[in-house]
Amino acid sequence: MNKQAFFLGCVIPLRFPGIEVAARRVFGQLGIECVDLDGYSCCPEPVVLGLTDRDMALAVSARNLALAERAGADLVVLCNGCYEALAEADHALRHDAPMRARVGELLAGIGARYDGKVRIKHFIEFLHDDVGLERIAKAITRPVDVPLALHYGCHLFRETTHPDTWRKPRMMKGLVEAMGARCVDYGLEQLCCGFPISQFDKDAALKERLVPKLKALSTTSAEALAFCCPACLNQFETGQGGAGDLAADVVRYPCVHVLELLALSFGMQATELSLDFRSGATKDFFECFWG
Amino acid sequence: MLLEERLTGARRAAGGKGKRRVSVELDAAEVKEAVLAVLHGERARFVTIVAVDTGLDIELLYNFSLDGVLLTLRTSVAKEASAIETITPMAPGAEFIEKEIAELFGVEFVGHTRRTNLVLPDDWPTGKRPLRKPIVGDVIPQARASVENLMIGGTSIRVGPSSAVKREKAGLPRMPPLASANPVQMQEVKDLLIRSGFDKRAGFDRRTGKLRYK
Repeated sequence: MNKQAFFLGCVIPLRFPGIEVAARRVFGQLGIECVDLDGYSCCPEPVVLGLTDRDMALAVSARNLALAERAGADLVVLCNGCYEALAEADHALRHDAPMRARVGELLAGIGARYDGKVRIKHFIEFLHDDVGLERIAKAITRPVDVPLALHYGCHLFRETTHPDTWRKPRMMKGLVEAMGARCVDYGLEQLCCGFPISQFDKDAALKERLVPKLKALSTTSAEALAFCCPACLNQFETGQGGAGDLAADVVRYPCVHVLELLALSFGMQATELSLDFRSGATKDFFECFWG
Repeated sequence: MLLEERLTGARRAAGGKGKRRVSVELDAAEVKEAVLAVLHGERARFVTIVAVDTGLDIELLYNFSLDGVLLTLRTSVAKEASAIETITPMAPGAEFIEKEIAELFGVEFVGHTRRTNLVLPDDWPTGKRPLRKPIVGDVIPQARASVENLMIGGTSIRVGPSSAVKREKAGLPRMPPLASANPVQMQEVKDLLIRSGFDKRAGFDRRTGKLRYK
């Protein structure tokens, strides 16, 4: 398969449509045709739903993979959680014969089938490996000349076939540096954003995850935090606003998605990114550098 | 087996260890006919009924001794309307156990004639059932909204009007290419979820579009 289809997930198109706009612009400017996966459903979300019922989760993931296979497309996944759910399902269906038979029967019941022909790539991996940093660097007209800290997101470390769990995080760093940004280390890059914990205990998620990261960041020269996961970005945007006394003495960081940075570096205006629903710090950051 | 021949809904259940145990699953509406079939010919003897509170439902296990085999007819009644026909006309020995289950678990055995309490004191409060737990399913409270959203709209977060407004402002179509944008695709997702048995395991009520518990 060489046709590409976006797997947009739920959070990007429904909560952060500006990131979808950025993705379409970036792929368009790179000359990569990426079609929509018509009729896709939830991946399903791997932390809460995936753990609630594995049989259901695999069946729903398999239907999404079957849609891509029927369209003759590989998947470019824009969300870390979706990437994990789909890659895990693909891996399970390849290696667990009884499960493959069970899911195959369920798919057959709705007139679908999945033969394992779809290649699933996180957009970071696709841009780094399939497009290449050199081609991306050539498309940059406005380098991102800003010190940035990176939050990779736990699911970016997920590998089903490769032993090197830092493979994709390194690619993210390479991509951000290719845009001209200086990546600032803060020592807690691998600490979770707290989103999964927040489903159970919001205070603990802030106190044990988000605030320590913000405190570590505040000792660096980073001017913003870059993400490739919409759920992590959402956790930081809303968490910083809701942290109150827990983070009274901590700087509020702008939260930017790698695809937004890429689109801006390709010449897009910040006003085109639909920033109405973002935090004040994020809006100020975009307007200050790309307004 | 005679039962499977007579009742199209009957299916051999898992469990029942050993050669001398057979378990058959039935819908509650089929139990009366199944009991008639089992007791036909006087080879079988009614043993007892076991009630189990499974959280969402009350499972009822009707046990019979049949040619040295312990035959169990398994059925469930939803807690919201836990009623089933009495088998006392065919198996008079079930009178006490049906009454006991009615008092302790709140299952109504329709047609049972005994009105006075058997195991509970006469002044026991109406509606208070000592062995009946509140209705609860396996989905943890934090996942319940996501499960309802998935069952209704195929996504873990709700596709509401505010999403459409956001997308329109961003210059995108009001709906992303999700299954919920296409009734045929959405029905396919729902069919898949139902075929996987998730709606039952989660305790999702398709009629109300909600989980059966808060």
